[in-house]
Amino acid sequence: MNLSSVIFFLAVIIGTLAITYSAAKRTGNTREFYAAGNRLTGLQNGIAIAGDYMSAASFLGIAGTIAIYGFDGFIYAIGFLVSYLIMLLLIAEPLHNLGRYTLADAIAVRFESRLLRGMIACSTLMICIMYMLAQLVGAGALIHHLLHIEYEWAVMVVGVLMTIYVGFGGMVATSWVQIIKAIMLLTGTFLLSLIVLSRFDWNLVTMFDYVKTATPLQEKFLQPGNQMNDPKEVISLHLALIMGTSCLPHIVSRLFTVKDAISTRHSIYTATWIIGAFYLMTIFLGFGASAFVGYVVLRDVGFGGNLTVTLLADVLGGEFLTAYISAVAFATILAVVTGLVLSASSAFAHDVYSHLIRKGMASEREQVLVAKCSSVVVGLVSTTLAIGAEKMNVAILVGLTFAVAASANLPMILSTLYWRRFTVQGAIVGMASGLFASILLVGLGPMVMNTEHGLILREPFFLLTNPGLISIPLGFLGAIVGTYCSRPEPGADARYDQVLFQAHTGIRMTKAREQRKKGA
Amino acid sequence: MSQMDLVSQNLHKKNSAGQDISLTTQFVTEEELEKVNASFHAQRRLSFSFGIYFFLITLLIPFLSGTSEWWYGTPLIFGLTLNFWTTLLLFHIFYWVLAFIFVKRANRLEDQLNKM
Repeated sequence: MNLSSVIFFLAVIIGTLAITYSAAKRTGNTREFYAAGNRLTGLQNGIAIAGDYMSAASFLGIAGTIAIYGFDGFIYAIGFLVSYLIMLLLIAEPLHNLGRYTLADAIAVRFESRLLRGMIACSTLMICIMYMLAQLVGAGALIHHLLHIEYEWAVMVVGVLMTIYVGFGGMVATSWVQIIKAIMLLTGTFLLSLIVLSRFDWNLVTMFDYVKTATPLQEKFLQPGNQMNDPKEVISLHLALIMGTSCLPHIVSRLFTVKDAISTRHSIYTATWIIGAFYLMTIFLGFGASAFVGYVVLRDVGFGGNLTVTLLADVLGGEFLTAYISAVAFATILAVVTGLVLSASSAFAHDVYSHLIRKGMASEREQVLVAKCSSVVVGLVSTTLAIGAEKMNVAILVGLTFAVAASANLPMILSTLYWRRFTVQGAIVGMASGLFASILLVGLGPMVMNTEHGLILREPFFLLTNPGLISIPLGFLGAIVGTYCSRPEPGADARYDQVLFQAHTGIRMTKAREQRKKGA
Repeated sequence: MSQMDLVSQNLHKKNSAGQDISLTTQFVTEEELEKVNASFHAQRRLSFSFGIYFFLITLLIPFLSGTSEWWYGTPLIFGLTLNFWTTLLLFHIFYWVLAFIFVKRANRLEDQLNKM
């Protein structure tokens, strides 16, 4: 490891720990710990959402895909971007107005079922741990390669840091780590993009013409079909990305950190600008890498193109720029896993412990203590699993994460918000069918069953890599069947009126009318 | 004003004295409730109409990519196809503009509701 790398990495670690130290003084109650006291502005939260969402897979993976496969990389990036419009149009404001700290809080305004809260908490824990495992395994391999630290140590460093951020600093520290990461990521990407463009005399068309000659794909490099040539696979992948993102628990929990609906909209709007601008810049990174690093090097270095950006930084800016970009990648990984730890520990401490075990009787102090302890447990479990999963194909976990979010959570969220006839049984059956279908179809699909490099060496039963095309409709079907096979509970209509009122205004109607009736 | 018969609680906010106003009670009239409902329906119409534009345009791109040669095979701007430019840039712009207009309109509805 060179001196520049040491300085940049230490700066990231010391800076984020200083933020955590400052935030630790303000995590005495649950509102501060889970939701940063609802004090973030729309702009701050939007940057934090972008920081939470733009993972190493986006920064390194998409640039690599563009560098190797050209046009298909753009298509992949679009799936990540457009998901935020679904969130903005249909989900963000109602969930903000209904919820307090977790997704289950928002759903509980309509259905006070302990089973449903437990299922949502389980789904949240499952999504967070799978996604975190994928990030940690990727982080370990990447840091090992960049800094020549042993894989186990690399995972442990990330695991310890993310646990410290959440355990001591809660949502305040998590938000600021994500904001800093987003700024670093945008700065690094912008800088590299400028350097790449300058090498083509600031002319985009020259760049496009040049890259066509720099890869073996030639003209095809700027045309679709180099990587994604099965339309069903493309649609399935994008359905899961577009539908799943708006239901990822660590993104949903960010909606509760602002004070009102206008700030919520501003948050998502800011995030769409940042994420969109970032994905536009990945084009320069990808094309720059194919032009200056070269297809053969990118292919031979392995890692599925994930080292594209660091190789590009090395070619364009030498040791110093490579050190900065590596530190950006490190901060990127830290920010994403920190958000996941917070979301998982909130699900356990708030939904499982406070509501299901203590039935709402836990004191503020007890809740915060459990939340802190559960962040340590989540950190410990995921770090241990990640150390043991070094050789695992983490693409399975990422695919499963988005598929579960889209198939189990989305039907339940949309039906709760927009369907008057929807029942608690519908919510439970919908969640269960989406969850079961996702796991089963991934298990029977080519990521697990593969004659060359699968966990099970045989032909797959199910041909799609991502099951979204089938599992998302199954989730909705389960919700519909469950609803029509059950009767609405007494007072369900009034309850839905209450949900609509609160979803739109943020103000909860209490049961005064019912109490008046009882009184009468 | 009609007779006050609904009670609302604000769950999360604190008033200027730092007191949790979830402990205080506000009264909402039937008339106000109707206005909120009307505003909610306007908001929902806005969300769904924008959702339809979004889905139609988004689905149109892969549809044209599979069916129309003028879209995916005819070089148009700087020797590159409309499909290329749309995926690279135009879709991002469409997406940002759609989000911008939606946020403006939704905030206007919110302001109207707050003035009630």
